[in-house]
Amino acid sequence: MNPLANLSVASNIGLLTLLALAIPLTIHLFSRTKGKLIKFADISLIGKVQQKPVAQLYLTQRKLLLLRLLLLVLLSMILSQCVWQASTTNSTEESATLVSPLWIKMASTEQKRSLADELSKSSEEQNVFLLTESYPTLSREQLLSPTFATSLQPQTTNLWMRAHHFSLLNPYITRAHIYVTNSLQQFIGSKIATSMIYEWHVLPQTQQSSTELNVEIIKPINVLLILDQDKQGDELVSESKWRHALSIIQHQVSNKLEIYDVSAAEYSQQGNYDWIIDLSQQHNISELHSLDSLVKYEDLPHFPLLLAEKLLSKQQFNLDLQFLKVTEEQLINKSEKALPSQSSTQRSAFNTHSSPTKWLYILLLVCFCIERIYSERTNLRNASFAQKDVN
Amino acid sequence: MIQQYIDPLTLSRVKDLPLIAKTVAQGFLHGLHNSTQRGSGVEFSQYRVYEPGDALGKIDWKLFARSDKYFVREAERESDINVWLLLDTSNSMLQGASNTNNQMSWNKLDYGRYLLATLAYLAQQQGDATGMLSLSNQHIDFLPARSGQPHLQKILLQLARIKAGGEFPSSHGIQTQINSIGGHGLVFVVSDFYQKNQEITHMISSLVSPKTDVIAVQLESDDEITFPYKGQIRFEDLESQQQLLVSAKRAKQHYLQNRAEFNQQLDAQMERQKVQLLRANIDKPLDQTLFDFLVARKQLA
Repeated sequence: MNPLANLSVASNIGLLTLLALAIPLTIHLFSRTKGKLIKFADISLIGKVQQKPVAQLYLTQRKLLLLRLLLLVLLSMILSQCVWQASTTNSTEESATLVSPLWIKMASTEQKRSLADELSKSSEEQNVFLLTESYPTLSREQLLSPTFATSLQPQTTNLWMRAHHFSLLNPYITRAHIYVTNSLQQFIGSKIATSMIYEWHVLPQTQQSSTELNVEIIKPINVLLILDQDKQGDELVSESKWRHALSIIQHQVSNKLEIYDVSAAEYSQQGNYDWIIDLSQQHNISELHSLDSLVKYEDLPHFPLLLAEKLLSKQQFNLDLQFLKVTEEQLINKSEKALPSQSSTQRSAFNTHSSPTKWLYILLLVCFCIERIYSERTNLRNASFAQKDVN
Repeated sequence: MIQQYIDPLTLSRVKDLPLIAKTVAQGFLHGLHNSTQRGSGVEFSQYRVYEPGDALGKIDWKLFARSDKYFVREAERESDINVWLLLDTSNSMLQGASNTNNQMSWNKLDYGRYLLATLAYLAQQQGDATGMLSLSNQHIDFLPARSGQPHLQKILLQLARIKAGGEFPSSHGIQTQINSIGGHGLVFVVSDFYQKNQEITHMISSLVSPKTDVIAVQLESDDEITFPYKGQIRFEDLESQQQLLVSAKRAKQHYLQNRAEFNQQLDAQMERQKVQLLRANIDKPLDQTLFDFLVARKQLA
């Protein structure tokens, strides 16, 4: 296989510098009249050798000419930004299979077995990856294992972004089979254009109850009540009333509310709470927390309603995610959005080509040094001949 | 006998012509088993003050006992041979040796200079009268044949001062000097024998006589023998300054053929005139030429 067949250029204009090859050729061709001067005792013995006709021009100092031509060729390759397209071991393009966690959870055993058998037939069992953050490889046993499916925790994510990121990390893979469900919660976010060719295998999702889905919507919400030591206060901050309000909310929403309380004196910043309700008289807790999680004294009259509204909207959102689906056209149609700007590491990972520019620079430098040394030696040799003859 | 020859490059570094002449000659003589100075017919000539380097065997100890000073006996062989040293000083003699660089230049003229200086020294050692003639159409230097140390110094000084110039003169221009070369003699003609109209050959033919033995020494360099040039070369004639642009590769075969013919022609001419022709490569040691000459003379004898 000809390695030069994989060489291509990014900038055709740089190739115009190849025209400069004519310069040293012309110089060396028409410098024949100079020749090397040698003083000889009797030139009659050399005789009259017939001069070459103009049509047969003679190149002088051929080695030096070759070096100079090579310099120009290297310069031209650098300016035209030559790239070397990495050839794969097989003549066909490499492909991979990406499977989303939700597909593994939702697909039936027959569907999984069918996928596994198909992968074995095409000898692509090594190129099966799980569409999670680290893209671990997926073995046949894992694919068919119910335990493995149970252990997976699908999250709201953007599979387009994950697939694009996978293509950046594996530039030699040009085609991917992606196994997903059509649940909208797997496609939250923008669709990303990518150079990889995707073949979508969409598993239509049936209605599932929230109890069957192990998603983050059923994560409990932690609420902390900060109370006065002596539990004195006005009616607004009555602990009993707050506990009553929260229990009503609890019944309306599917999220479980975990309610904790602590006295103001004992309160510390430790603990991860979704909401902190300050019922104490001290009113200085606000300095310690962001406004998103803290309900201040002034908001207390409205807070139960606010909390209920937030919880219900989130619940609705999560319910929507469960039931809303993407269509196949939405999956297949290419995004009109441009590719996101890549960092240099991503760019190098994204490139299916390798640039020999660094080696071209080194070669250019080496050739330049050799040309200079050889040229000087030739000039010195000619000068010594002339000097010897003068002496 | 293992002869150690002095490399021409070594000679070129030492610019002292008398020293070189003495060193080469003594080295040459030291290698001979039969000294030409011994034998019958060697008579006392004069006393000379002892100089460092003189053989202790030559010191007259009786005279030392009388005078408390060292004197050397100088012997003089009965000889009426005049040794003539003719040197071609045309510009073609400036052809350099191949293994020299800018610092150490060595050409045919230098080689001829040192060769004749050595011969002059040898001749003086044997008591022969020595004369010298350098020939070019720009300079003709003539020293009559005399013996003795002072005359040797004159010859060496003249050889050191010689400059090349022009071409070899025609017979008309040197007739007077050629006529002075007569009698029982030995003539050394040192040249490269590049001639336009056979001037050198005519001169030699006018020198040859039953009483005069002529020895021609043709000087050549490795470059002239092998033609090692490559690529496009502009050759400039040293005498006419004419230039010739050739491809050395294409010209080489033609040149070597011409050179072989030139040498054959010269051999034939010298043989016709019964002149011994010696070829000396200036890239080879100078004393080797002397030994080659000696061997050739022995073979003739």
